[in-house]
Parts: sequence; C-alpha cells; structure tokens
Amino acid sequence: MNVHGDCPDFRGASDGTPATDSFAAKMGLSPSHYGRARSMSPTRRVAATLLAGAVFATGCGTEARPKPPPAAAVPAIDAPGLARLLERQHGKVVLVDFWATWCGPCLELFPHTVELHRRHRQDGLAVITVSLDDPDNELAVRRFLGRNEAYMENFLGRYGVGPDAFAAFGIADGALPHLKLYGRDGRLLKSFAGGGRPIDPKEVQRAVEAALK
Amino acid sequence: MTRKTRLGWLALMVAAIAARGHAVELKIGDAAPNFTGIIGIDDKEHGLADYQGAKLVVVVFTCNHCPVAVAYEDRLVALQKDYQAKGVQLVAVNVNTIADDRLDKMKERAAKKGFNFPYLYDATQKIGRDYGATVTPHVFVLDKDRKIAYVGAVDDNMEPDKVKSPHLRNALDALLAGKRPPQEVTKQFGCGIKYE
Repeated sequence: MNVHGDCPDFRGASDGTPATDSFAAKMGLSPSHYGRARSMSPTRRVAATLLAGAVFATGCGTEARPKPPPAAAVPAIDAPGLARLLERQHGKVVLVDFWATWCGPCLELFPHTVELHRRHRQDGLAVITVSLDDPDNELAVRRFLGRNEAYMENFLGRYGVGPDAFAAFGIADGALPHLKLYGRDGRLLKSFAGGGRPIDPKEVQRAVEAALK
Repeated sequence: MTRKTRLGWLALMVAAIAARGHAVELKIGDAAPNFTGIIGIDDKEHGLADYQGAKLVVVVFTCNHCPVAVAYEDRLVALQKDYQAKGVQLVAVNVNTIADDRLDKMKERAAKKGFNFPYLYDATQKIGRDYGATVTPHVFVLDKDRKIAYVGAVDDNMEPDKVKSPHLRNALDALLAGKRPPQEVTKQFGCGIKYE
C-alpha cells in the first residue's frame, strides 16, 4: 500500500484496523479517560472504512470524504515516564516517533510510522509517538492523530516546546522529526535524526524489519 | 575481522562523517569562525569584522519558513532594541536554500517584521557548517574577544507568554557585567537546517 496514497487528506483506514486499548490497561487508565473517543467511534470507523473503500474505488475524486474524529485524549509524558514505558515492552521492538504539528517534515514522515505499526505490530513491533507540541495545542495533536488513524500509544511531551523537551528526550540536534529504535532487549539500536537531510522512511523500515528478525 | 571488513567499516565511517557535513560542534571558549562577503537583505556584503565596535555579537541562524523561527522574530527585534545601546549587535543568518527562504523572501519577511538587525543569506551554507548550526533558531553569542560565550536557544519556550528563563538575555546580562552566563549551553531546538 502506498502510505502517501493519492489522497493526502485521507490516509489509512482501508483495512479497518481496530483500536487497541492495551495501553490504557497497562497504565491503569479507565476507558472513560483513555478510550473514550476510540470506544465511541467504531460505527464511525466502519463507516469511514466503507467510505474510504468507495473513495479509493473512485480514484480519490472530490466527493465528500469522511472526517475522522480526533484521537482520544493524549496523555502527557516526561522522559522518566517514557523510560518506564519502554521498560515494560519486554521482548518487543519499539519505535518512538518524536514529532510536532509545527514540524512540516514530521507530518510527512508520520504516515510511514503509522504504516510500519500496521504492518508489523503482529510481528512484535510496538510504536510510541511523542508530540513535542505545547500542551495547549492538544486538540490539534488529536486531530492530526485521528486523521492519520494513529492507533498507537500516543503522548504529548510534558515540557512544552523548548530546549528542556529536546534535552530530556535526548534529541541531540534539536530538530524534529526524530525517531528512536529499541531492540527486543530494550537497547537503543539507532536514532534517526535529519542530520541536515530528511529522514528516509525506507531506511527506518529496513532497520525496523532487521530488528524484528 | 578481516582486512576487507575493516576497510569497509572505515569507508562507511568516512562516508557518514562526510554526509553529516555540519558535524562541527563549537565549544564555549572556542574562537568564533570568521565570515566575510555574505550578502545581506541590504544587498551589501557583510563580515564579522563589520561589527568590531560591538562588545558582544549575537549570531542567530534563522529562516523564513520555520514556525519556531517565526515565533522568535518579535523576540529578536525586541532584544536588539533593548541591547543595542549596551553594545550588543545581533546578526541573523539564513543558510536554507528552499524557495521560501531565499533572499527575496528574506527581504519581504524582514520588512514585514521590522527587523532592526542585519539579515544575511549564505547560499553556500559555509557559515552554517562552520558554526555547526543544526536548527533555526540556533544562537551563538560571541564575546569581546570573539570567542563563543553562549550556544543554544533564545529562551525556554516557543510560546512567549510561557517563558520562564530568557536564556539569551541572561547570558548577555552576565557577559556585559563581566561574568560568565548562568547557563553557557542550552539545547537548541527548532526546524532542522537542510544542508545540501
């Protein structure tokens, strides 16, 4: 599947990927807190899936497209919280995607992360996304996640948009997007930083697939 | 490890270093890289020596297209206004070469925002590589001896009303008082500079 698709405003949903509430269970969060928007959305999701099929079938015309609802409330996370979450992923390969709504290249890369999760979550890949947006910008974050059908463990950095966030999460060059890949043993295998060029999603995919082997 | 593998690794490492291009990381106390002949929005050439009358020079790598850089424009204008009489000269430099960041767009942006400091364009990107600038905005304060005295962010929050620590102003105040900045290095953050 071409993750960029021919319809940049509507990505994913063609396989009707169900939401997972495993994170809510792990964090001891009540469904009303974490799973609210997800648990009320199956009907819309099915409708969206059907409509998406129709849209694909008609070659992405200009007819009305379904508007996915914003994702559920995105919990705040700090660096120790992320470290604890990583520790709980025993035996899984973990990809962490640091992004922000203010970062254009992040919005281009993000669908690739969604697609990697969809393709490999059954193979033992966990994906965590951390938005480095201002906490007051949460709705925009949720809208973007919803639009991208991002059924991963999604968080909003606790530090706001500033040097503390980048220092705490270990983003050396201070630039987004930034991806970190952890092996099944929990060891950091690779950080993907732009380094003056955009991150190549194929390179990320190759590294993820190598780590899953 | 065979000789061939070793050579392979060596080649990879060399390639990796070459690909990064801007892997330089200036340390506090390092001599600031000189620059000359960089075109400004006034269509004149600028160099570090032009500002020898200034006690402190603040080199800020910035650009037009980046939301973080844009969020800091007003703060840079206010900073130059507040510190000019104290002998501080801010110099903004753009090394991004996408259409939105080229000289004509820089002129538009500077006029719109009332930039009260030089705004220079280095399409060769050399100055960015020399300073090891990775993002916009990325700040370097040069002391009276033109040694690096502060590196990093303008302050601690992109949202102006949420700033708790104005890192750059704190650094300038300390340096003007003959002291070292309370924090000499903060983590720069923003949009990655695209090097060709």
